[in-house]
Amino acid sequence: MLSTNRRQFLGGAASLAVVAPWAKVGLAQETQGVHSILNDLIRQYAAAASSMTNPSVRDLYEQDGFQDYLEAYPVGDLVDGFVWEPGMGAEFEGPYSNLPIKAPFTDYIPLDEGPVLDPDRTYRIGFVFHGFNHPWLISLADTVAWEAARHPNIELEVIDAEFDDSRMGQVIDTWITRQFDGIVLWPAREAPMGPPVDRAIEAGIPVVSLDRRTSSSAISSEVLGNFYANGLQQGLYLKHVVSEGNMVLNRKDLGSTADSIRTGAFLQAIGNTDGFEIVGNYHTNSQRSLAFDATADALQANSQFDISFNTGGEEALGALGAIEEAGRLNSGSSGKIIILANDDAKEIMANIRSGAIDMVAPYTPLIGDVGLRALIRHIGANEGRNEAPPRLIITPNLPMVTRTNMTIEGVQTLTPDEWLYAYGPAVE
Amino acid sequence: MSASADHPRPRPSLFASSLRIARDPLVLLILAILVLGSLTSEYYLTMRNLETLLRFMAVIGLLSLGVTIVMLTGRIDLSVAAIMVFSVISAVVFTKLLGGWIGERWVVRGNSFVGPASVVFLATLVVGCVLGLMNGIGIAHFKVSSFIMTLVTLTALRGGNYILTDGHPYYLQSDAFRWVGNADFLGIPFSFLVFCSVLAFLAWLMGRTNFGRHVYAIGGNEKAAIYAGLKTNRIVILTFMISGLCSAVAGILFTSRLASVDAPLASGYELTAIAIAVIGGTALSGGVGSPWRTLLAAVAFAAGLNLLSIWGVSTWYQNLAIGLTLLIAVGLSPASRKRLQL
Amino acid sequence: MGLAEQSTIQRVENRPRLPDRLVVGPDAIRAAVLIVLLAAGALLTPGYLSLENFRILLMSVAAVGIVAYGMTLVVISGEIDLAVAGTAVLSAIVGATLLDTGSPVLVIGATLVTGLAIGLVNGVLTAFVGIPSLIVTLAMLGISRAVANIISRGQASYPDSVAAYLWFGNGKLLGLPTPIALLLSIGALMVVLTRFTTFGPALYATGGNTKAAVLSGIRARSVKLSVFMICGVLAATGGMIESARLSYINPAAFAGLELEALAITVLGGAALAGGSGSILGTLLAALIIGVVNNLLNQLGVSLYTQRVVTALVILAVVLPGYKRRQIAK
Repeated sequence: MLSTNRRQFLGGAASLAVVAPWAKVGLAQETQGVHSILNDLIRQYAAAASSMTNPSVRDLYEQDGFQDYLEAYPVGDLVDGFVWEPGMGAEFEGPYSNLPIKAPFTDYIPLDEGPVLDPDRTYRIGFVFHGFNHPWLISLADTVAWEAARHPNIELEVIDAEFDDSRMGQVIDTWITRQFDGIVLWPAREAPMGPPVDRAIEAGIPVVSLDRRTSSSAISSEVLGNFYANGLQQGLYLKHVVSEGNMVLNRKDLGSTADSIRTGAFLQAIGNTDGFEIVGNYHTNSQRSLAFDATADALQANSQFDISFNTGGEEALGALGAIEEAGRLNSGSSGKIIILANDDAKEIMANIRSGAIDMVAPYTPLIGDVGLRALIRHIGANEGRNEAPPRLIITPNLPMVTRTNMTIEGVQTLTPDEWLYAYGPAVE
Repeated sequence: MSASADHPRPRPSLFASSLRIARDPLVLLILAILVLGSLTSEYYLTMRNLETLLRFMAVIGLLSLGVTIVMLTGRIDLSVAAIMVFSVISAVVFTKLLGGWIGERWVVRGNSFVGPASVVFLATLVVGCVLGLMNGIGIAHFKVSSFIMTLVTLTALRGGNYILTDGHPYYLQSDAFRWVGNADFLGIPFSFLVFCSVLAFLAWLMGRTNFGRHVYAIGGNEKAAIYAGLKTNRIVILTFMISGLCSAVAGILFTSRLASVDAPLASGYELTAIAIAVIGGTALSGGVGSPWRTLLAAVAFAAGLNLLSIWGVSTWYQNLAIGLTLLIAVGLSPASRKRLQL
Repeated sequence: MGLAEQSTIQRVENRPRLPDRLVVGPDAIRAAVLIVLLAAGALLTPGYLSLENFRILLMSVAAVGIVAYGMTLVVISGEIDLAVAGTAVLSAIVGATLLDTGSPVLVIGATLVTGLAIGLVNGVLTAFVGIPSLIVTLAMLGISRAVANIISRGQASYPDSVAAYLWFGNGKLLGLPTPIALLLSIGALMVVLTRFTTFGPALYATGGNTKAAVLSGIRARSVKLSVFMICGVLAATGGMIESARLSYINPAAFAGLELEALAITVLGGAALAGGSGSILGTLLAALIIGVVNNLLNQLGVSLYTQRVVTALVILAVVLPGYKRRQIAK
């Protein structure tokens, strides 16, 4: 397998130097190693964070204690030497959203269709998360349910705890009572979900968390997203296109992993470019209307407003709304206010195509299938059928999406048409 | 508003009151839920599930008890859930500072609190009391409407939670917290026993003391209570302090169970607490209601929610079911219907 | 509720009483606070008193202000509507199901009719069945959000194809941005309704003392039913304005709208016991909240500190009235 060899070859700290000369060979080759290219960039910028020269960036970086969060966030290799390339994955209709989905990682920790483990047994599995009315989270549930539906002897129960951590704990306790075979969860916050997960593990039930982490040290596996690569790429893109400007940050809930890792990594990337000045720093908690109001006020307070950094997609769309309402999209030192986004919703992609939003770092919700497959392996390991998967299951770093193809520090960007995995309802 | 003025509160004997409770529609509802649960799921009446149920009930029940006492005076407390979380957070921060002052590091790397739990518990109760006192003074002395005063407290404390924590959780993992969160006696969770003691105390206070009679008198007809020479301000302030204290106790139980405390926890619990008090027949206009009936409402609420969860009902339909049940339960129960005299 | 609120009722019942005119009225206090805040803004940030900033300010409070008008009527009638967020969401979602027809009449009509229908149910259950409105509307909040999720399968939709819908957020009316024009014109309409029609006295009387109102021939039940229906329509209107402004109909939107609208209503001088409150006070209160958020955002104060400051400003508006309340006692 060529790709496996290549992957091994690329591994290690020196790979950046090796990749750079090949960077113009062709789309398939360039993107093959995107996971490790980005990991190397992460390491490179993390090392430079201790000597930030931009005072405005450094002050915020230190004030919010980003260093501690970033140091604790796992950055590493994929399980079993998996190499992801754009185009991989399966297409299906989301069982909950009824929307067409292409999930990128269906070949990661693969599992054949059909009965799993003991075919004469029904395995009861619970999936608890929050937000059956958030496009990102419904898509996450879609992938869990899709994987479950591929295996006739899996019975999946899906519960929405509606952002009440205590309720999520009770759901897990209920499943312990009902002697479920395994639990997959999307914890909104780390701290409160540790004890219930520990109780499940103690009762012999394997537990896998998706995307966000819990404080449990006994949890079977954690499927992690690529927050670090998100924020870093927002910074890389920004300093690739401009070297100065006044910026306003619309961030998520203070202390959430999404905020601390994405915003922290963004600051790491731009910390040594002195022309950037942070003139506004808001927590708009993933609410479009809050981001709208904050950006409207920031536009009013700053006649010089050049860059809008957003920790999520909702934030970016709120910021865009305010900028358009003020009639200032085509203003700022570069002739257009640069809008940086996360989350590859179809709505965001439409705005990338039109040029209103400049770049988005995809953060795919389509990882629930990976979690369920890992959980089944854990159940199999308990039954002595196979080896357990590793504790940390890193998902592939994804390249940023821009209107036209660009190469930024060795990262080949994709266009919205090349990005097949956008989620949520379609937008014309 | 003063419908209860014509209902002087007699002091029923304990026997008579327990007889009255047994005929209560809420008791029938609870029995129906339990029977339905045991018929439809082999797990419903297991020790483990009942423990889950009782633990949840203890927290939400304590909040509703506090709200009930305040509502009896014809006022409302929207700040119970905010006080519950804030009192623990501020107690941990205070204890951390105290530790720093005597040269101990009580919050170690990873934001784990390793200091003495007893200091945190004590400080939590004090903060709960003080916040209740502040609510009470604003409402009784400065005549700010209770809704606005406690909404202000709610808003300020929810913001204060983030300011005190910078959004980081505090982990509470010492043995004392673990014990409070997990201990049980003969299968009865410690937190439920705490709830029962608070309930017993409040039932005694409201049913057997002058203070209790005065609270009902204020809720029934405040002007008459003032003319009768009652120190209404003092009594109102005390009810808010009781509510603050109930919230603080709930906070200790809640965060010990989660082994951590985090700024955004328990948002929206205030509306649940008020709903339970009203399902229990507590009138928004004051003067009508009792801790016992709030207990029944809390049991019915927790048992019903737990049953839906055991059945694995999807959340959308679960919320629909809760809403409809709430309407039907209150609509069918003449006691909790407001008599609109037309 | 308590005595504090009772005193306000008496004040409203004897509105033209002379001593009241001698003491500084609460709306004057609110207006003064607003002016102080605007002056502070002018001192602290450049261009604060610009037209553009007034536009931003009014746009940010238009939707919630309109919802608060409806809430004010309900509160004056002695009831409460905790369902407004659910009403706004469900009406917007029902409207969204008709987006494919491309017909603005159907989409907007369905949105408003749904709001009206939810208000009708709330009103009937409260006024005719006799369930406390707090319970009715709390239940309705859960029910309408659940139904909105079931209908939409939790998915957002985009009203971009219906220009008339977007007009509610981005268009112009009478030379003003539509949300602002609606905030002011609906406000004017409500002032007329509460002050210059026979409905006004009936409303205040119903909330002040239902028994006395009924004895004097007022159909209190119908009054209550009507205010719930008006509140339902206004909640749907507010929801539509916000959805149109963001071009985004989101089943998860409007979290906490009920407490926001209630806070504005009570800050505007309405007492939860009923019988008092005014539309003008509500508008002033909405503006105060709007100015506080707008100013703190421009000063770069964090959301969390903003909450604390907002709370203190509310107290600052409410506290000076306490001498009056003691005199009334």
